[in-house]
Amino acid sequence: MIYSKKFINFIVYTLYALCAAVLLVDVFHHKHGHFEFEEWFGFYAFYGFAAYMIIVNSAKLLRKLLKRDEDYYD
Amino acid sequence: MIDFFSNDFINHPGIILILGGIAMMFMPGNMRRIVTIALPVIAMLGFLSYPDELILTVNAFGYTLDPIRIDGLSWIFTLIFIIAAFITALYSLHSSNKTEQSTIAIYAGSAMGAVLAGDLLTLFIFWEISALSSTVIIWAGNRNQSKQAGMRYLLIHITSGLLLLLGSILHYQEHQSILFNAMNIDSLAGLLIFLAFGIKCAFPLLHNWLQDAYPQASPVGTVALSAFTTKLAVYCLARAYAGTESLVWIGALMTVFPIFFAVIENDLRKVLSYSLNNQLGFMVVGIGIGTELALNGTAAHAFSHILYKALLFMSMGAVLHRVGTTKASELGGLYKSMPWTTIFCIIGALSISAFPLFSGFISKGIILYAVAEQGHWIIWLVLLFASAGVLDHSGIKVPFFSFFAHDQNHKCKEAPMNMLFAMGLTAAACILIGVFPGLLYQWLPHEMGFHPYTFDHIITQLQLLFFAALAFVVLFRNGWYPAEIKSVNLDFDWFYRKPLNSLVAAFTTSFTTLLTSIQSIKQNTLKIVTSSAYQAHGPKSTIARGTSVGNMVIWVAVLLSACLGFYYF
Repeated sequence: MIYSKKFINFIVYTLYALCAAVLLVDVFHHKHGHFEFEEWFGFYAFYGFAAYMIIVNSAKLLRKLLKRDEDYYD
Repeated sequence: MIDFFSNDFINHPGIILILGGIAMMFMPGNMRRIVTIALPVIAMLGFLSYPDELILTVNAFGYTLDPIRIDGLSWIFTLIFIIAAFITALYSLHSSNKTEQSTIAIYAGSAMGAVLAGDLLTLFIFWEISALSSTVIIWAGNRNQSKQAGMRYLLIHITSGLLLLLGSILHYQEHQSILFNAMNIDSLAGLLIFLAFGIKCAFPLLHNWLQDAYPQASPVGTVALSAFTTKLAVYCLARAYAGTESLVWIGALMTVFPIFFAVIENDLRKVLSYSLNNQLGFMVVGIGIGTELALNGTAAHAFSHILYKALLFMSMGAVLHRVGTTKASELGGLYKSMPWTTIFCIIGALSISAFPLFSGFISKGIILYAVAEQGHWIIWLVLLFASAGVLDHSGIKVPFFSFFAHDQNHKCKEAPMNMLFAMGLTAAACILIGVFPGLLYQWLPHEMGFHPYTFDHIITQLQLLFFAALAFVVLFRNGWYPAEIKSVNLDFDWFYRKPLNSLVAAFTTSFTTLLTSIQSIKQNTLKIVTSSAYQAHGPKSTIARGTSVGNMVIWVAVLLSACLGFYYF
């Protein structure tokens, strides 16, 4: 059931909808943060997305440098 | 003289667990199982019989010692340690590993003893007991690398103990007191003790014993290890070095660098070890900030972290117990055979990722707020960056690749009942604290004026997490997410497992050659000495020749007869 295309699409579209909903809040609601940049439109959303992309892609580069066979230390 | 039978010592939760653990070594299976679960309960009763504030002072060996000190900070750490000991005991009930089960009780007790210690000598004693007992737990894991990894772990922790001892001696010379209170890193004594704590807290570059050794323990052993050692170090740092500026930077670095390793690591228990290291970073930043709110944040985060980290390690331990591996490349689709474990693992993942209504949200939020309050915007951005990383490795990677992802058709049973109970209880605690943060906040060392459930906090956290999850979907659906492959990744331990190892090997070889040549020189000299001595003193040597003696006798006889002749004439 979980592996059906329908279910996976349901999960993914739900996530899209949630993303849109929480981003939309920024249009109507003015946040109060400690820093000025916190109050920019969608700051947390874009920062979260960018951070995740940077982490995973730089880890892929790191793997090229650090990956060894499983029995490397044996 | 110390009265060891006073109520204060009899109720000491650490001593109860250590003595109980030693007794357990001699008990048959079922009796041991009853005792293992009863010990934390007795320890809790003993602990609760103490007043809120207590300092027990004794004079021994010419020093003033405070073997028991209870205040706001030590109270909450002892409390969570007893809870963790209970959860671990419940999780270990199916096990027939006598050594491991008894040693875990001793180990948990030593951590409590160290937290309650008010002087450096008592701290040192419990510090060493915890180092030795945790090594035994790693060895008891009996996996292919357990012996070697345990030995490396022991060497590093013995070093930490020696630094603590040396620092304490210097501290005594400076201050004429070994009471364990605030210190600073400007003096040599303070710096050595700071390093001793730093090793145990897995500071960057001193961290690798953690990821090296923890995955080598058994499913039960790793749960125990994850709770005590590093949080004891966090407690000690909070006690002695609160407000030390360098801790802010060390902690921020700790939150970031392990996440890159966690993304590409294949063994999911090792992923969790990197994640543990990253969570410690948040606590260390809180200590570095050092305000009352920040220290509350550190204590609260240690509390909720012990619970969700134990929960995640328990779920992976259950997978290891049933499937025999926690390598992501060999797992997938387990939700069908282990539905309860799946649910508990997801609750742990939501808690560590700090989703609203789960424990991480109400504890990590305090630290971020305290950092922002002090205007540290770079550190704040780093912590937010690391929070997105936490969602990746512990929030998504661990549950996704073991229970869903590519179905590997593992046919196995659900985890044993006692494991499910332990996980269920911990999962319930994670949600309870998340929904009713006041329950935890009332136990924090300082007055609390922080409210986690503001509209801004909830919505900004959801924005961060949902969009980070969106990034995962984009990466995974396009095949850009790094595949799970069988491999090991080099980390700092490479330096002592490869070059240092070769250096030692080279040293041993050259030393052996040196020894052999010394040996042969010795033998040759001996030969020369003996042969020349043989020439001079042997049976055919000049000295041994009978002729000279005979001649002498003849000549003496000739001389004597000549003399005799002279007298006659």
